[in-house]
Amino acid sequence: MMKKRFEPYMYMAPAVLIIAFIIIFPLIYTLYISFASKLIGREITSFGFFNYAKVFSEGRFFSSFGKSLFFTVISVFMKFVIGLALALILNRSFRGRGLVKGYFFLPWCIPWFTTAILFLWMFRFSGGVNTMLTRAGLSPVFWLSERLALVTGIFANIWKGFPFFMISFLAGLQAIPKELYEAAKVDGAGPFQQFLHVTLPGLRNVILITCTLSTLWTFGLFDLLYVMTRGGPGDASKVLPILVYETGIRQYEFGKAAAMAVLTLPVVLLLVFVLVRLTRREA
Amino acid sequence: MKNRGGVTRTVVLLVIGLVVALPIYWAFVVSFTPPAVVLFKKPLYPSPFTLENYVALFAGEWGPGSGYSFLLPVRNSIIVAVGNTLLSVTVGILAAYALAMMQFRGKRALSTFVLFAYVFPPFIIMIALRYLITWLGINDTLYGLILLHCVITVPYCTWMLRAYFLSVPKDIEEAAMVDGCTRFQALIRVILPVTLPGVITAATFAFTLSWQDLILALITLDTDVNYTVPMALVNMIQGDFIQWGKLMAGAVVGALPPIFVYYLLQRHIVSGLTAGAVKG
Repeated sequence: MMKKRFEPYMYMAPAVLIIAFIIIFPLIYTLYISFASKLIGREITSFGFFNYAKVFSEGRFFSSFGKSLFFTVISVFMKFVIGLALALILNRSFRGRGLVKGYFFLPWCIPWFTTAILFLWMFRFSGGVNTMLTRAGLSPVFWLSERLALVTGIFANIWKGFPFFMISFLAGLQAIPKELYEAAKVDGAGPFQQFLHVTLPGLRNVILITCTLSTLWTFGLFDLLYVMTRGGPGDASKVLPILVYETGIRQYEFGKAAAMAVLTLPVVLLLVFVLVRLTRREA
Repeated sequence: MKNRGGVTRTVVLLVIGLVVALPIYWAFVVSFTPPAVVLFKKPLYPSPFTLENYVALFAGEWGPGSGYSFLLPVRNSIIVAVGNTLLSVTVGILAAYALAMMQFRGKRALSTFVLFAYVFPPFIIMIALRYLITWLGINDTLYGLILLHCVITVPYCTWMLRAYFLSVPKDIEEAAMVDGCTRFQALIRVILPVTLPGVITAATFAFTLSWQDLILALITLDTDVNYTVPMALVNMIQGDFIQWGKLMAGAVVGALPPIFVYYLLQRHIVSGLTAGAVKG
């Protein structure tokens, strides 16, 4: 009898212990070193808010925060629009639909590092886009300049990310009962009104969950911009994950990097909270 | 009226289709054309067509002064991704089985705990993870990277397999146990065969997540003997002179395993994506 009662916990134990050991414990440790004056090779001598004071006085963190928000909001919005448009088009049956679906699925299958290298080639000054522009008699553009690097990164992010939205929305659309459309038609609703009153409400939860998930992933995305620009030129595309990496791992300012991570935590926790609530409602 | 809608749809599909194709097309141009031709003539298609970039990548050195062929990072990536997949799928199956099919106190809290871990962005704990593997003495080893990739793959596998196991009728398990199976035997003999597509999908995702990770590899690995594919490629992008032919060849080779497995399992992937991520 005793064994039966503890059985579920024994099945849970490996996963819970691993997650506790490599996510929860590091999270607590991050909090701890954000208050400590630890430099490489030296023991902790004192505790206090000096790491936070440094982060606040430099202002670099806040400009990175702004870039991260800009990167995330524009990317997610565009992925949403393109994903929804394609899902609506692909939800009707036509010849070659499966093929078209498989084709638009392709960017999602390509790893981040390859995506980054493809777009680095496309948008560097003597790269693909400028080659095509000059062949067409137009003048080349500095796509990875201080002014445009972040926007170019957003473009690459949309390219790789929209299929996820498309596929989620397609699955969501297929779950909407056909009778609802029939009923709406009987009530005299046109295509736009059907979209507004049947499609959107039917997709509501899928839209909310997909957007929240993508917001979290886009906000935490490191690989793409790191490979394309290393956060440059200057600080032009230095989103938060790159800033934390540079500060903590490259410049050995562990405490300051930890403080930056802790200051980002409320945003992350808020999004996770929203997602958990949404998932519970769905279940 | 109807026709106009059709035209709009076709135009949208063609424009987005073209944008999807262009970067991929250019990858083939750059990787199948001799580097000097790409640099000076800027061709729009591979002429003359050559395999020399791929040959140089595998027969020569992948990076400036590295002294190793690209086979080495490919081998390292396979070791890490396979090791991590075996570990996280095993752990994930056990936990998902409990979460989906057993009744116990704290189940709801543990589900939320796993979901939290699944969506938590690893960059927040990057510094502490560096401490952790150094403390364990497995920094700069493939073991260290196998462990750190669990940050992503263990919660993912657990969460996704939970959704799969939830779709299995409870009676199947109960019937097996009435027949004298223990819980564990019921899992191995009855549940796993039924949920095999789900397990394969979870394994595929775990493999590709591990295969394409860069940030955890950057934290873990220091010497180029241990570099994985993304690490090796990032190290080819240094300074002003980039060997584009080799780099692009490496990027194409590195993208092949994920593309291959995704298309092989496409039907399951779509349901896996939505079951794991969207339907909770």
